[in-house]
Amino acid sequence: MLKELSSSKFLMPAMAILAVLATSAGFYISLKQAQQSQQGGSTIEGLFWPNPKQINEFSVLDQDGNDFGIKQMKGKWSFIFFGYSHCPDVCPVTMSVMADSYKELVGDNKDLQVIFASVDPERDTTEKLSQYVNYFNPDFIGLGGNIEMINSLTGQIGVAYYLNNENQTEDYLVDHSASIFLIDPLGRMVGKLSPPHEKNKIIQQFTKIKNFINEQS
Amino acid sequence: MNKVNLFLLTTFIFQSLFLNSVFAKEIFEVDISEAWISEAPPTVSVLAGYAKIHNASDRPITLLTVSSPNFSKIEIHRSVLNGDMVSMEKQDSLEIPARSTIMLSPGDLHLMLFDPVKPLRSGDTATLNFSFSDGHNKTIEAKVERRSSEDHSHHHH
Ligand SMILES: [Cu+2]
Repeated sequence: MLKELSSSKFLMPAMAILAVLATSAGFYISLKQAQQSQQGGSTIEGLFWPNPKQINEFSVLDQDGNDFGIKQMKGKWSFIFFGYSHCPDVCPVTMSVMADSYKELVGDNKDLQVIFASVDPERDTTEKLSQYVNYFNPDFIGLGGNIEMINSLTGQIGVAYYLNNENQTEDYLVDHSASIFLIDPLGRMVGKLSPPHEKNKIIQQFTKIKNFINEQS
Repeated sequence: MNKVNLFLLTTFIFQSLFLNSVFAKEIFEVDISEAWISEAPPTVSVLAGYAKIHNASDRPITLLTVSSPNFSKIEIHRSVLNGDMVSMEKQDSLEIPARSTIMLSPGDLHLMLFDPVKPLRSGDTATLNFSFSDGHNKTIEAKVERRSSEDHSHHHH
């Protein structure tokens, strides 16, 4: 474009117009947008693209004791965090960040659900899960059941956990993932949000990933 | 042992006890502040406690144990992120280097407070007794609070 202009005899007026445009905020913003769409998905932090993993059928119980599987995720955007209620430090901090993020996002994202999946279903009974998630937000979903059930989900997400219960004590600790996984309405794992978690970062990453996925279809 | 000797010995013991306590007050320069306990959802029987421990002296001091009438057991823990995995590692003790401050804060060092005697809700307080390697103890009151995630991230900075 500039090359064409420079060969033209209208160079000076054109430059003047360009200068006026360049100083205007509108020009700057449209330039920024052009740059971003050019870079595409590769720059979105935490995005799994191309070939996001398709989550297939799994079978767990929600906090009311109802069956919960891939059907309950289709048509919705889901955040999933794997933790356990006997974790007083990292888990509640993550859940309260999720609660604050959800509060801001839900207005424009009615199809958003937040899931806390327990990797300690022995201690996290349905009733305990219900009170646990409800404390952070009554809309939140708690998943449990038993170890086999939870493994049908963790296996597909590809998330590891480890129960330090060799000593058969009641206060055992569990090593678990600190990331938040993002599943799209087609049941594809399209993103992973890594710690440290922070409300504004989560909102930004989610919005970018969602917009990107919507552009692909 | 004659009477004079006994008198001298008693005086010596008395003086050393007295001096010890005065001396101790002077050299024990550990301050614990900003102590709080994170409120947990109901039915959760493990809580986390946080505080700022400052050692103003010119020698390291080690925190050995923390006890409380409000909990059945307290451990010193550190949350450690290893790749994607997070685990809590029990610390047998915690050294506070000379002239420095150690922060117990969310996602990092914390007191693991097991089985509260009574359920603790926001606004309640619990007594925490810190025992140090030089034999000193420090008892403080920690308030139970429900902090938002923004408060948490503030504490990181
Ligand atoms: Cu801990």
